Amino acid sequence: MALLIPSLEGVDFDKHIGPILENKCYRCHGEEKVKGELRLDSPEAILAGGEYGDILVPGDPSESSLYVLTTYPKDDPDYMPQKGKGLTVGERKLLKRWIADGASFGESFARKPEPKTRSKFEEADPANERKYTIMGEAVEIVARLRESGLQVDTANHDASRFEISYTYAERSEGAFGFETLALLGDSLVKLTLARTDVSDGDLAGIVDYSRIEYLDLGRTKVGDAAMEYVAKLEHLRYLNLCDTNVTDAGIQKLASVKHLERVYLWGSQATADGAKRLEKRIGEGAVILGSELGAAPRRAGPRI
Amino acid sequence: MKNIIGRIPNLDRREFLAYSAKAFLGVGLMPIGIRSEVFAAAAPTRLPSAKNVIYLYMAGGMSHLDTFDPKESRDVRGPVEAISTNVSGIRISEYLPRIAKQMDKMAVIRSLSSTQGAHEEGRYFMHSSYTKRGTIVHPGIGSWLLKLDGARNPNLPGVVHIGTSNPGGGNGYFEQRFAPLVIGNPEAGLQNSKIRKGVSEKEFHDSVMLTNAFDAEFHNRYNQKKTRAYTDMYDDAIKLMKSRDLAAFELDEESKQTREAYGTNPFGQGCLLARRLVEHDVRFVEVTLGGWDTHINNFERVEENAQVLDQALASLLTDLERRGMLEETMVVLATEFGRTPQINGNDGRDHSPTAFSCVLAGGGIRGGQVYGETDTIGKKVADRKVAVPDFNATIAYALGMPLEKTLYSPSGRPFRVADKGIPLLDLFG
Repeated sequence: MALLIPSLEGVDFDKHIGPILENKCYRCHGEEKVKGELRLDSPEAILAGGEYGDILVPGDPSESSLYVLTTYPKDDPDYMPQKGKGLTVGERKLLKRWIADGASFGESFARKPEPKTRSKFEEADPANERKYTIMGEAVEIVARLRESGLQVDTANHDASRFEISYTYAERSEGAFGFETLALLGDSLVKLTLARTDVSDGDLAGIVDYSRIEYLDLGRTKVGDAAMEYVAKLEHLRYLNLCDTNVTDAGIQKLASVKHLERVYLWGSQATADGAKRLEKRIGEGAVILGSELGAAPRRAGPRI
Repeated sequence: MKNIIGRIPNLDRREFLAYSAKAFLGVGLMPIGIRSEVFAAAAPTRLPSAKNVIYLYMAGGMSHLDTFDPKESRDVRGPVEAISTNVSGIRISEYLPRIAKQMDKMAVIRSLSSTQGAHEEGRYFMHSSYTKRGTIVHPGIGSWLLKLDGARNPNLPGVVHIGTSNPGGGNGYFEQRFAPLVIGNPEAGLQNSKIRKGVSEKEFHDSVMLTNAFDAEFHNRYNQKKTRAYTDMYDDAIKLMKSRDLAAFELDEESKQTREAYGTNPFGQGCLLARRLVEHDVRFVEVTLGGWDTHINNFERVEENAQVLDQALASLLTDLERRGMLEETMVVLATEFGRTPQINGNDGRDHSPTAFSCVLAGGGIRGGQVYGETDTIGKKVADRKVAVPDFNATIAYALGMPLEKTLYSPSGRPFRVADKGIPLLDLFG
């Protein structure tokens, strides 16, 4: 089949591209077989894309898998077409130019704004894309907080909830500036102060953030006095007090926190007795005191 | 809706804060209703919560039949008995008695299936989700995580490999700064990492300044990616040397009891080091245990290896749990393929990629479950096949990574963190 080389005229879909697709692609992407949920036998189908989304970005051949996959080495697992003869150099050039020139299907075809077809990933987890992407007004607020030296993240990959960590925050000594957390207000659900020099008195400033569900005070010098403030966090679910100075007396104050699910006390001054007392009031399994790890059993046989 | 009247004093405070925020920082407060604005859906279900990964790699092809997927037939199981676990209905090999008591934390996937039955190709595929090809080296999940989401601790490397660095698990074609730090022997600490005795802080500082001066010259003249990679690495090395967080590498800080509990062998100590590193917000730590390629003398060798694994993994899970780390740390147990139900002439089992077992725990995974099933002899998947990219997509999903995000290699090829893998959402929540 003689190819018209459109060196002076534009690349025409019907004249130049259609025949390539028919000869090289329909076998797997047409009426009989629809590999990768992709059909190439009509402009609508080409625009609809396949199981992984769009295959054509008008104006950009390098982003169009319709073209890119034909340029791979023949033995590459992703090379297209997988069956039959590959595209000739001339055909690839045509395809590339057609896309670069805007991928027009001709005047007779009016491109309707297609609803974006859902890729397999979106089907699997529709909310995923939105989860970790910070959007709207939050973008500027997060930027400001980061400028002030704090580490800000989405909490549990949910972009409507935020987490602040002071552990690596650049701040002057003693200045926790909990007031700036007001910028996040009710969206602040996780707060990490682990391995900082936070003191009992400092924590008075966090009682305003009643939406905090997760508080990590591990490896700090906080003690019983801090529990006074922590107990005011009505929505607290998770509290890490590992390697702190809290004692049995202090942790009992946590009994008033209704939703408390897990309190970690390994390395603190609490004892089994105090842990049990608290557990009686907030629920079985909620207080994890921890114990020494079991040593390897002595066994006869090959020593490793 | 809040009871505004009862909280008028707080409202004043909030108004004051709102005013200050605008005046000093130039932004408004996050509106109270932002949650409903951004998220039209109902209250979010339990979301995956992993921030970090401890990836335990069983190199050589761990026999699933003698570990996590025991079979009844005598012909298949040889001398190995199955034991019950602390989850009713789930039984595993008698070689893993301590892990059996931690089953409530674990999700055992028995239906992994790979297309790669050779070691190098299998390890590469398992680590990168792509088949090995001559033209490109793909990055591993740890490097993808660093590239897309960044490190958390600015003073420590974001990815560390202990024991060995497996093919497909490095930074691939990503920039050098996403490369893993490789530690051969976890008990040796970091080589060349302490400022030499006798060199004062000032002298050290001066020599760094001098080097920087020379470097600046070089850097200005050759300001390209590679050069900056070199200086980035150097700067990072300096930061590491002077960092308090260097103590994370000191196993001596742990009690003798803890060290013995993990097992006094490189893998056990490697797992302990991994816990310490993740405590310091290193995001991806891989620890390799070799010796699973049991073509010869399968049962004795698997028993030996399993004892090391059993001790280390059980201690690791208990340790992470008691420190409150299991919610944010995903523990992965992986291997490149399984082994044949048929016992060969050397009392061994050969490669069998069509069905094998891997395990996930923590990071939002619901413990105490088995996912998928193999047939009666453990050769083929009978229910809910999990392709290797799907397994990796599950890890990436737990970390909140964008599965669709495409990055391009230097030659312009598109790649994703788990290729076309679809995450197993049923494992969470």
